[in-house]
Amino acid sequence: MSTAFFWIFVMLLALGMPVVFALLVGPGLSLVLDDQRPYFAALLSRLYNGIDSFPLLAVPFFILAGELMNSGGITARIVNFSQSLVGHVRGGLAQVNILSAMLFAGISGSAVADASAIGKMLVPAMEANGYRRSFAAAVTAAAAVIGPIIPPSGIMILYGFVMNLSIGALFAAGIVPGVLMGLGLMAVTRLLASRYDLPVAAPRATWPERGRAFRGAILALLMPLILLGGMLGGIFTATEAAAVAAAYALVVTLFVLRSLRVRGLKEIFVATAVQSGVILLLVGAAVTFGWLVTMSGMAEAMAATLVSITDRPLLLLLLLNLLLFFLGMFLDAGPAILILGPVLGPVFASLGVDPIHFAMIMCINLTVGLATPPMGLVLFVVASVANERVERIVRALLPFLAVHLVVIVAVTCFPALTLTIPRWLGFVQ
Amino acid sequence: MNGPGPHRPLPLLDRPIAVLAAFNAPVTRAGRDIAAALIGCMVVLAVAQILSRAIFSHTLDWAEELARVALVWGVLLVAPYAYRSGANVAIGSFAHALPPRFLAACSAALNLLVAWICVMLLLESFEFWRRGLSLTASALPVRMSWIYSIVPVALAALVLVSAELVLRLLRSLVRPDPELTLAGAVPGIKED
Repeated sequence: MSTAFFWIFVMLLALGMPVVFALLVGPGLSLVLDDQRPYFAALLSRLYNGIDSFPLLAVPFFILAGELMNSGGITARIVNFSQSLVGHVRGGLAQVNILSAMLFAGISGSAVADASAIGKMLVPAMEANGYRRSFAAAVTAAAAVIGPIIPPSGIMILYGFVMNLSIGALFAAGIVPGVLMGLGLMAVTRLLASRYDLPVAAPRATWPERGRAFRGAILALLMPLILLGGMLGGIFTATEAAAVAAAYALVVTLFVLRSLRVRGLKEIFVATAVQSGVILLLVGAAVTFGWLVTMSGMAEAMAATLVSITDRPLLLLLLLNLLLFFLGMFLDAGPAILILGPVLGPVFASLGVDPIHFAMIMCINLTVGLATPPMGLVLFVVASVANERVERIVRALLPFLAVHLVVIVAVTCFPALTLTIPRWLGFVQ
Repeated sequence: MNGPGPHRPLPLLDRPIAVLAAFNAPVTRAGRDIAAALIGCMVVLAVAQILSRAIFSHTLDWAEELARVALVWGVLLVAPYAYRSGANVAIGSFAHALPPRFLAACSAALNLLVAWICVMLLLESFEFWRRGLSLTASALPVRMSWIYSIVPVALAALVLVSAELVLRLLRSLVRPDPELTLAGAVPGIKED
């Protein structure tokens, strides 16, 4: 079988065909031109089987949980709690933005959801507090990137499914890089706050005030603990944890906080159905594409080419970072993970790179790509929420992007940053 | 997407587009709404599974299979809506830098390719469905053909949507179509 399907796919993608169709038309055209009818007949069953999987149920469940929490006013409670902790620091609202994104990351698992939820609340507040709008938007975009790195994470679920890796292990591996990224962003914000003379957000909260803010946010903050506790305690699987998250969000917003009405649910469920439908059809198409990559021997050929450059895995991983950073500028994280995972994963596994470590390099790189132009979904969301031009946001984003790059290099060079917690929890030997 | 040319009737295109739109709009929206309801069913099934295991130490095998069926049905039911509304992810940076006429030609060619793959997969789907006649679901008392029946239905809906979009794209070359938008270089229709 020739590898023409791959080049047809690349051409269609560059011309602007939606990724899901390019993943099917590329192989379809190539197989018809090569007169490989039996393989063509298998395309449909591969597509169907690519979607027909219990672990994939986690995708709509986490999207639903995020939508419910967001619409149910949970974001405001998280922001209030963050403000009570760091609002008194110079550049306080920017710090609140980053801390809120870290806490929200434990609920939503999506950078776009983080950017939209926190941006809508904090960008106007920061502007009113004396921040430049471009700076407020840049902080929001940089912090939102943490969303899919701290568990739960939508792209880790997709990667775990496509590459047959433990989703629990991937979630555990994301904790240290996510926290490091958050702390790095807070440190850079503190430096910029002195340089630009950024204001404090509020006087230092007293401990009783912090206690009240904590009680207000406790239902949201409990969610990641319930999820991780349930998974690690063997009560439920990662997929079932996602269902618990959705059910928990439904009960909390409808019956405990009463911040949502039953009438408002239709819109939330429809948005969830469309988002998850788009993602999961892409998963099915990517599984089909990955099957052809394996059948054509392309992965082996690529491994041979890479090894001919250098046989030092660390150097190859650093080169991979450059490639992923570049591709992340043009491709959304989900499709990029689904396309590149099956191609590159086996290559680096054969070079002795731990699959969980490799997965984290992929996930973090491509997530950071969400905040880089020209194809940065988070950037677009923040630009729309803040009503600010993308190029201005990008300029203000540069110091924060440096933090992202430092974390990527650190994760690449020190596998212990990603593998220690999964080892403690027994996911990795 | 706005093309050049005066506002004049084009009966050869207007009529089939009107017929296709009158069918596609409500059908794709109904598919989307059923998919939304199926999400609720999936949550109930997954939580029922956990509770049954935790309280009664009994695994509901049928619940897992039913949730998977709901997932596949949901994804395939939403696909025509996502295509029609331009909700699919694409790289638009290069396409949008093309001159308008070249972009329109490129869009038409790409959309024809999408239509082609949908037709080809639709033809394959009948054989796929037929194979299901001889298979029974592992935990549900139904033939797999019942479960597979969504595949030709969704692909037929995708073919009809692609036909509507190709015709709208052709019409937009001579008359502006304010409803038409682009997902990358493939057209979609703005939803209300």
